[in-house]
This record gives sequence, structure tokens and C-alpha cells, in this order.
Amino acid sequence: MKKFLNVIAAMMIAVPMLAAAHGPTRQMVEEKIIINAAPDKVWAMVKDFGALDKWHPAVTSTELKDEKTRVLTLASEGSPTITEELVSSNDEKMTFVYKIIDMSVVKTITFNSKDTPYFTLPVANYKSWFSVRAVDGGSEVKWKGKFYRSFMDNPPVPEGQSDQDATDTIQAVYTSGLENLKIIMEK
Amino acid sequence: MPKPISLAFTKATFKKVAFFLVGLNMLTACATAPPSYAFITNQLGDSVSVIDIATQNIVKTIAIGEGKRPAGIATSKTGHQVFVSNAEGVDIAIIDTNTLEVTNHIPVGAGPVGIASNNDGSRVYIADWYQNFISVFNADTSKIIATIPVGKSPAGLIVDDNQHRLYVANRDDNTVMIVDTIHYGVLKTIEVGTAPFGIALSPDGNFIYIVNVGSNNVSVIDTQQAKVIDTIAVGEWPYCATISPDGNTLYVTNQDDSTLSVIDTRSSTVIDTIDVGDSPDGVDITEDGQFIYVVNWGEGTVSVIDSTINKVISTIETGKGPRAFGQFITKSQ
Repeated sequence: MKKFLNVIAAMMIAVPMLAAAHGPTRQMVEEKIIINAAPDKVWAMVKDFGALDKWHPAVTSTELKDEKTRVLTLASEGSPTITEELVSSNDEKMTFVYKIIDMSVVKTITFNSKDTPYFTLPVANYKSWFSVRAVDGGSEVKWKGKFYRSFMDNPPVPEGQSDQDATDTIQAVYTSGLENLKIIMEK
Repeated sequence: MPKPISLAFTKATFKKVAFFLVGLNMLTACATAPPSYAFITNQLGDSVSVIDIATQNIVKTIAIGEGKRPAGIATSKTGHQVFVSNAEGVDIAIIDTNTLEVTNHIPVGAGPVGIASNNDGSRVYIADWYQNFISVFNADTSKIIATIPVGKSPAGLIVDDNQHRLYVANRDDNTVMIVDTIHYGVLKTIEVGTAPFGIALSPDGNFIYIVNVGSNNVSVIDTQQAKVIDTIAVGEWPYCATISPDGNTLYVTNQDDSTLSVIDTRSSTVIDTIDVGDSPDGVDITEDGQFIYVVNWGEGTVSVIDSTINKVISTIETGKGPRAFGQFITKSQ
């Protein structure tokens, strides 16, 4: 009986912490691409925090809530959203940093008798660095992200919520974005 | 569960005698004692890179096992073993500092990350990220002898043998706990900043420094009063800390600034900020206090800083995703 009460107490404590907690291993993804265009032109395109939909194929609209906050709506089913905050931007170094501050819940499943939310992306505490630099042949664009998987409990991990899933998803976001940016800038 | 005090005491006394005898034996058996090494856990490379402090070269890369994800590391002052926590391997690996071989794997809870040893390496404490307890490992008998319930997602640990204390940073509770290492009970819980992770202990045991990842600062705790006496702002997403042998300088890694904050502990002020490699995580200092080793998780390197000039003097390549969370430099013996 006491053990049962402890479990109940532990569950009650766990609920408000869903947003803050995460898995134990921070993950990182870095993608680079060479674009045959002048660095200032590429920078002018990417630094516009309110215009990701102009070059990222997965983003259908970018809504600026204020100068530093944008809400992205994605092309996938149910039009999931991601709210991001611009942390810093540096024209001289052609680099900016942003983080995800909120995401829509795509679905909620019951896993190990607990409600487990699936967010737009299966990540938590996501922070990203974007930079452009001059190289032979034009510009090198680098997109780097550091994050945890969003599922916070110990394994087993529900489908699509593992460290690998989180890494693969971000990798795909970066690759598809950079490839399309290259096509647009080289037109 | 903790053992009755009387039994633990008897056993401890017996162990001390046994250890003394083993120690005598070693003096005659080992012609050359191992040099001072840095043991770097490569979390994404499933290995440990061993750096010889004298030459600043990697002398060996020890395979830990595929998918084990070694994260934490615990050296001791006088022992000849180091202990590696394997976050996904749900065990600890024991490395012999003479042979640089893994001698054993010990299963622990579901999420071992933080790990620390006492001075002679006979007791190792392992924080369980998921199950919210500390496992106490007796290295002489190779057994887990107790589990101590603590706060949510315990991370950084450090042992003070003189005061018979273990300090625990509970990352998701924003607290630090003082644990009695004789009776394995929590003596005190202290509120700190947001998401406390790494811990450093002053050599005299009077202060602990708690790195708060989420609030970009360090809480200074007076260990006698058991309360926060100061808070020092550092860089973005700070992770770990180490302190100079004289206790006057604290070094803190700022993961998202890729810098190391240098803090004068007497005035509680940041006196320098040093650029290091990408996403610095673990940090430790050599016995003489001259070199600081910063482990750059983002690029797979170690930045070696000369503390007399506060500059990076060399960069050593390690395996993928190095963490070295804990005290990772062994003393020369």
C-alpha cells in the first residue's frame, strides 16, 4: 500500500515537470552547404527572422509576433506550429542564434499508462546557430542545433521519440532547408 | 538499503585494515606507478580517451562497448581505478589505471550519469537520472551496498571525505542535497538556481560551487551554514566547474558561448573569459594547478589552458561527443 501511494505521489509530482525535463544526453546536428552566391546576398535572405517560408520548403508561413518571436506553420498534416525566439543576431559576423520556445502538440498517446505528447518536432531545449561565411566559390552556410529528445523517461522510448529520431528529424529539417536555399540563391 | 550502523562500522574498520595491507603490498609490487592521466569519456564514440598529462598526448583509446554512451567519470586521489558511468549501458565500467583496461562492468539503475569517488577509490556514488537515487558502490567487494533516494534527476556529485559528506545537484528540483556518507541519509536540502548540474568543492571543504545550467550562474554554498551565500553570473548554458588547488580560482564551462569563465572566489567576480572549443562540457585541473583541461563536446577535442597566462596552449583530438562529466584527472603517485 505504501509503495502504491509512493507511485501515485511520484506521478503527481511528475506532471508539472513535463516541459522542463528531458533525456540525459544532449544531441547535436550540424549541416553545411556551399552556395554559389555572394555572402551578403545569402545573409540578407537568411537573416530575415520573419521570412523562413521564403526558402524553407517545409514552412508554409512565418508570422512575426514581435521583432524577436516568430511562429512557423509547417506544411505537414494538421499544420503544426513552432514558436521560436531570436536570441542574438550579428551582421558583422553574419550569424544568428535562435531557440524554440513552444511547439504544438500533434497528438497524445498513452505510453506506460502515462499521457505522452508528441510535439511538432521530437526535441526539447532546442537551440540553433546559423551562419554564413565567404569561401572560394561563394558562401558557406552552416546550420547547427543542440537539443535533447523530448521524451523524458527512461527506456523503452515510444516510437519516433528516441535520441536517434530527434537527430534524424533535425538533420532532415536542415538538409531540406539548405538544399532549397541553394537552389533559390543560385537561380 | 543502508546497513545497520554497527555492521557498517565493523566492515569499514576491517576494510581499512585490509586496504592498508594491500597498499603495503603495492609499494613493493609496482616498480613504476602510473603517471597522471586525463580520462575523457566519449559519449557518442563509446570510448574513453586517455591523455598523459606530462606529454599532453593520447596514449590509449579504451573501447567501452557499443551503445553504452559513457558520460560521467570518477577518479580518486589515491586509488588505482577510475569509474565510468554509461548513460545508455545502464552500468558503470571500471578501468585499471596501471593497465588501462576495463576490468569490470557493474549494472546500476536506469540512468547513470553523475558519478564521484571518495579519496581512496573504495566508495563510488552514482546518480540515477531517471530513478532519482544515488547508488553506493563498494569497489573492494564490487557490490552496490546502498541506494539513497534524492531529488529529481540528480546530476553532479562530489564527495568530501573529511566531513563524511556527499553533495548532490538535483537538476530538475533546483536543489542541492547534503548526504551523510556514514548513514546514507539526506542531512539538508538547499534551493539553488535553475537546473543545477556540475559541482566543485573548495579544497578546505568550506564551499561548494553549483553550476546552474538554466539560470546562467553559479550558486556559492557555505557548507557549514548549509546555505547559499553568493550567486555569480557566468556565460550561456554553463555546465561544469573545477577549482584550483589553492581554492582561489574557479573555472566554469559555458557550453553555448564556447568559453570558460575564470572566477576569483575571494571576490566572487569573473576575472577572465577564455575562448575554448565548441560546446565545452567537463573541466578539470592538474594536481599542480597549472593546466586546465576543457572537454569540447561539440567538436571532439580537449582545450588545454595554461592557468598562468589564461590561454589555450594546445588542443587534443578525442573521440566523438566527449563529456568527461566529473573529476577526470588522476593524481601522479
